[in-house]
Amino acid sequence: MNEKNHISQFEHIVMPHLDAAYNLARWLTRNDHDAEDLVQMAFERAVKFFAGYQGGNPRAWLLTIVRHTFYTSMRNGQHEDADVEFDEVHHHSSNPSTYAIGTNPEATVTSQDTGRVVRQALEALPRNFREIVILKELEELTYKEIAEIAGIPIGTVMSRLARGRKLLVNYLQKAGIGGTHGM
Amino acid sequence: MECNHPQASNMVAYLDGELDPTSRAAYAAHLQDCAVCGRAMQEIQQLSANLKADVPRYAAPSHLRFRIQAELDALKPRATQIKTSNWGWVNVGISSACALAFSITLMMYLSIPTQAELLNQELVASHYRSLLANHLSDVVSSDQHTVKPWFTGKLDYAPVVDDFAVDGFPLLGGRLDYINKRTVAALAYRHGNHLINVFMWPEIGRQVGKSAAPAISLVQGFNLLQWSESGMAYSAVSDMSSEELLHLRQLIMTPKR
Repeated sequence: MNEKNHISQFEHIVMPHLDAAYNLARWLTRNDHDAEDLVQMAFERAVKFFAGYQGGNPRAWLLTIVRHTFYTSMRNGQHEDADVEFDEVHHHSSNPSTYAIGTNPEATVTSQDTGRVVRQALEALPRNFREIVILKELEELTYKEIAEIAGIPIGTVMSRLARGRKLLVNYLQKAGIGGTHGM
Repeated sequence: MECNHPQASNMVAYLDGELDPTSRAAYAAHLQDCAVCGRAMQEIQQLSANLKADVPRYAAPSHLRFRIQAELDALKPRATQIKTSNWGWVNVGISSACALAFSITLMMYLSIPTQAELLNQELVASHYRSLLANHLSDVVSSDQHTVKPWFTGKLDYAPVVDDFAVDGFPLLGGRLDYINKRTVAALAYRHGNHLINVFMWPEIGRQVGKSAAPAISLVQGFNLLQWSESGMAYSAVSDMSSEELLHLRQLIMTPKR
């Protein structure tokens, strides 16, 4: 494959998933500026690694690179992030509603607030759950694809997804969204 | 309250349609008897609905798209970018005679960069002269209906003249210049504090009607964006960024009205 074909294939196969890459980056970094830097870095790497692309879902392939780029740059201190990783093992038996929720949770939530609260809930969700929930609920990928992107077994995808959703449900119930109060 | 039945852990996979038919049936049977699981499932379904309705799937901003596209364009080799695509297609499936012809053709194309470099030098020199001598325009007008007729009789083709003031690129005027051994139209635009010269002329010796993707080069600190479309060659020179040049190109190539 010559250089020109290489690039036009890349444009054809990978460029259509720029929005998906940006969406994941935006939810990982939680701000526009870092998300743009991250996507640009990820695309530079993707072009380099494209020779090794073996077919398969190109969106999942690209998202793997975005996610990996994010964690690499975070380790190198390029992204400052106050997000405390949620320890699944140690918190497993404790109350699932342990993550902090905004002030005045019991206030009546009007319908236009709902969207804001739902977004807040997702932004506040610990990252290792947040990324799995985004890949499932927004990108609608399969467990197998998510497992490959995140580099974890399918069983872990399932348990994080179950737990992440449960945390979100509890958060929203405390904020008065999602019905079925007091289980 | 949580369900402790061994089936309970299958709820997520059941909802996501990830269970095989046997496990699916087993979970469905459990769901019939278990109110706790039923309620938990409703909550998750409600959550999914909320997430889909209220959580934005962020789209990449257009300047990011431009930036990445420009980086990809920069990776394409200049010499082959100019016109190999047609030859490439012709050669598909044709045997060694064509391959030989192709390699000869390629050798000829290899000589293009020097010509292209000369042209780039000329364009940048003209841009620089226009700033230095304060000679941006022979006809000073932001009205395309004044500028366009002015070229009539001075050129053997009609240049594309539009004002993009609303998009932040007001037209300052037009002038004649001498580039690549012919008289060409040069339009001056302003963007913020940057001045842009856009040169255009009909292509000769190339397949008319074919277009070449935009290519950015940096010459003496000026950004040079070149492309061709429908038999016309365009070159935009400025000290503004390549993204902004790509933006201006888009404006020029988008038919008005």
